Amino acid sequence: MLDARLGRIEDVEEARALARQGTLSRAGDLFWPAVIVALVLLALTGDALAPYSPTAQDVGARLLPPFATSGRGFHLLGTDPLGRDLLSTMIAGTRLSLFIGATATFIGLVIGVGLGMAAGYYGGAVDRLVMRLAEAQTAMPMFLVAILFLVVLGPSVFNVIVLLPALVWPAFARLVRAETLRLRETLYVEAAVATGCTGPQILWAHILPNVAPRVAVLTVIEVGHVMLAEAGLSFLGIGVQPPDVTWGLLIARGRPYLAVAWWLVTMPGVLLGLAVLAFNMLARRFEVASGSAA
Amino acid sequence: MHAQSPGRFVVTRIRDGAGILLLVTVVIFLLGYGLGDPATLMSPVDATPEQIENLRRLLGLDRPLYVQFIDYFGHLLRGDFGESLWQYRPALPIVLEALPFTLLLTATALVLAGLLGGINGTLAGFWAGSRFDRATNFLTVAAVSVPSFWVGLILIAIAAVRIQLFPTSGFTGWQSLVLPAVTLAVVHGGRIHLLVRSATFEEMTKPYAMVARSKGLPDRLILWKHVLRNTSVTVATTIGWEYVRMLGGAAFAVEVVFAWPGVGQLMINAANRHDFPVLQCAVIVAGAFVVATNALVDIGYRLMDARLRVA
Amino acid sequence: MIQEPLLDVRNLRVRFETPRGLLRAVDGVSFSVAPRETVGIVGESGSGKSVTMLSVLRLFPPLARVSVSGQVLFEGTDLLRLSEAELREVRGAKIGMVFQDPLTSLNPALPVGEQIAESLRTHRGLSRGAARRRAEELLELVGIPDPGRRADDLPYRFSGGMRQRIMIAIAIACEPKLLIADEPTSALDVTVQAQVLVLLERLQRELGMSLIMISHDLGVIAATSRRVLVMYGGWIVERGSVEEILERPGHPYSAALTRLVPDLDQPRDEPLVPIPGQPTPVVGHMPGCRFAARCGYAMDRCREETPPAVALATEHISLCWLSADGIRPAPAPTPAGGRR
Repeated sequence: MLDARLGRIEDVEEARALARQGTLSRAGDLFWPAVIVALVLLALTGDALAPYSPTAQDVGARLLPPFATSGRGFHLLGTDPLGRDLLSTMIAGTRLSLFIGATATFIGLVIGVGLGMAAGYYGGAVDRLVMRLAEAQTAMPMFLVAILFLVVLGPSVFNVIVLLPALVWPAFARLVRAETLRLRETLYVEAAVATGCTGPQILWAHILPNVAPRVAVLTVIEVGHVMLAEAGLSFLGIGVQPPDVTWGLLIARGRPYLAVAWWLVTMPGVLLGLAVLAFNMLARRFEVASGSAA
Repeated sequence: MHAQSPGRFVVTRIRDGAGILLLVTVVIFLLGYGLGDPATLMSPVDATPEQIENLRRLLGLDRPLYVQFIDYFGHLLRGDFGESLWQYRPALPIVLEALPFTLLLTATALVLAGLLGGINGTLAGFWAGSRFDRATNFLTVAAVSVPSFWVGLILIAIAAVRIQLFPTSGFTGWQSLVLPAVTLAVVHGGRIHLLVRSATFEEMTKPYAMVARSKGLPDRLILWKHVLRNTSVTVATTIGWEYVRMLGGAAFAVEVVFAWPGVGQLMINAANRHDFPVLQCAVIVAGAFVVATNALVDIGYRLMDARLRVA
Repeated sequence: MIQEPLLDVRNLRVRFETPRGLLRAVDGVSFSVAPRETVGIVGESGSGKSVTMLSVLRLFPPLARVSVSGQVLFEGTDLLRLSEAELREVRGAKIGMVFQDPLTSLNPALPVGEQIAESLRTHRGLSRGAARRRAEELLELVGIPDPGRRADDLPYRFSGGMRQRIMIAIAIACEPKLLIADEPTSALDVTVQAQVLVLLERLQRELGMSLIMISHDLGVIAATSRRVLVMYGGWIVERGSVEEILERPGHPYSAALTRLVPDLDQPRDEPLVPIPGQPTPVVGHMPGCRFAARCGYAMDRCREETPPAVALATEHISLCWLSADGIRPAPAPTPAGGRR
């Protein structure tokens, strides 16, 4: 038996091993990234793809279960108490859910990476201060603080985006600080210092590129956390407010009808879970590939 | 590796915890009195600017901020968190009444999660790559990808519509505990499973694990005598930290879903009523509890670590 | 009279699935070990020597995607075809292994006596008391003083040399027929190395075991083994008696290895000549001789065609085109008596 890459295949065992490594595994690798790409596309072009307008009410078609047909047409996921097509409202919610998730995570990343690098590189008082802050942050009941915050300042998309980075920056800071400490001792950083590079220069040119991969993996995980947190706040009514819509808000909207129209609560939750699952699975693939997990 | 003796560490940790709590108090104070305006919040919607200004002067909100804080802090130390605007009685007792319910729910959920996640996670890590591992892996990653309040809603839907076995709202007896505790246990048990699996797997890759296998010892013996001895500290502290996480958010949302009379439910009610004193009090009390738990877990880990070193 | 070999490995191939492709760690290895014989396997890290021996007991890392083919006949039974349960009866009881780093090979949380005793309880069914007594005897046998008290100590209380002795005690506890020692001295100080090697030799004689000694250090192999297998890139590139390999190596790699063994009679200013380059793992297809890239004698043919197995003497075989042409690589100068 001949294989182009291997020359002679010695026996059945090798053939099986090769098959396992082949196209099936490649396809598997692409699945979760494809899901994320699909969601992003949905967020960007959703309005065009939605079968109906998310705000179009049709009282005659209220609370229809999935796969039902109304005067307007086919409703894949059913309708809500005002007759709005659930699928369309879910698509409409995609944009804001992903936007808040991405933005808040990004802000948290910038803060966390910045503080982490400073703490790791300069050490001393800066390090202690940053670590104390991070500790205090994780020791606080963030959820309750968030409720207080949003009550005082008023719930809105803007306030949610301002608040949520507080949830994630400690994780970034800790990771980057540890990596910076490790990298600080390497030869090429010492060389850079010897040739007169300033701290910020070294951080930007040497340390940042090296922490980037692990930060990227953490980012993927944290986007999931932020999305879940936003869903929680919106569900409780202190996050995003109507007419804006996110998946969390949709779940809240469906809650009073749980006994008669279970799909209103279930479907947005499934979509949210799918999105977060995609991020988590993607992160796991990275970790397995880089060998830092199994 | 540890510069301090365990005793010293305990003292330091407690001191740190107190410092964090102080910081929390400052932050809450600033949020409330610095950023926000209690006078406006507490006034009826149709109040005139003069009425609000009067209220402000009445509450002493026109004094410098640090003066207000000292006053505020002094009251705190005496247990005076102000009076609830809704129930017309001191805020602190209201919060303290709700606290035991939260404790009951979270403790039960933690035990469930710890057992489920700990046992399954260890087995999954021990037999990494097996069908059991791959199946539970996907399930647990899915479990940590969904919001816990949504899981609660699904359970209610199933219980209310189909099974009708357990109550889905309020506290009417021990059965009320089941659904909310299971809800929390699903998500947190999932995460414990993943972390414990990871730790166990790492132990299995260590050379002594291979040596144990080379001796021809049965799997059960290897797991019990060799692996668990080295992972137990990690598992215990994972569960501890997961508790802190639980208090950080999920527990309160689940309380609201099940109308469980704990601190989370209390806070949402207070939020809807703009009952500012109760809000502040709840955050600080819960904060104290979380800080204390965090410190306890850290101390526990340090003590267990010390004992292992000596042994 | 031809003796039945204790261990007979036939055409063993071990492949790992890695992200970069199929790694042929062991590619068609065959050899045998007679009862009471000491065989040495020498090669650099990555040569496949450790994987070969781990494959005998099927001790692969968890989650490793590995496929094994060929036969490993131990006392006539093919170990590769045994179930996990059957294999567990062989491990520890009939075949014992000593690993490289005693620091990480012993469970840091268990007393050493216990780590010896559990083998005895599992395989011999001894009671706790009897196992404990036997464990103490074994500690004494390997030269640990005051075994009664020290059996309760944790590994960290022992020096590196003593820990390795404990590992040996664990490996021979059930009096196996075959002892495999994978780099037993590599993590030890030079002075301690000699002691451990002497111990292994003594135990082998007293217990009548066969011993497979694996090392990257030809000096260690020379001191202990009668026959040597030289491995590179998953192949056995040369095999023969110790004297043949040291004094008249047929393969350039073996010759290079002999030059790496420092010799007291060597003139002071004669440098040790390292082998240039690094061993590269063989992923995917690699035509020709695996050593060609680093071989000083490489010809075009070496890079294109797999070299044949050439008999240089009885029981001395070299896998090399050079040997096929009847040429020998230049060995290290050897004083009469061959003291190393």
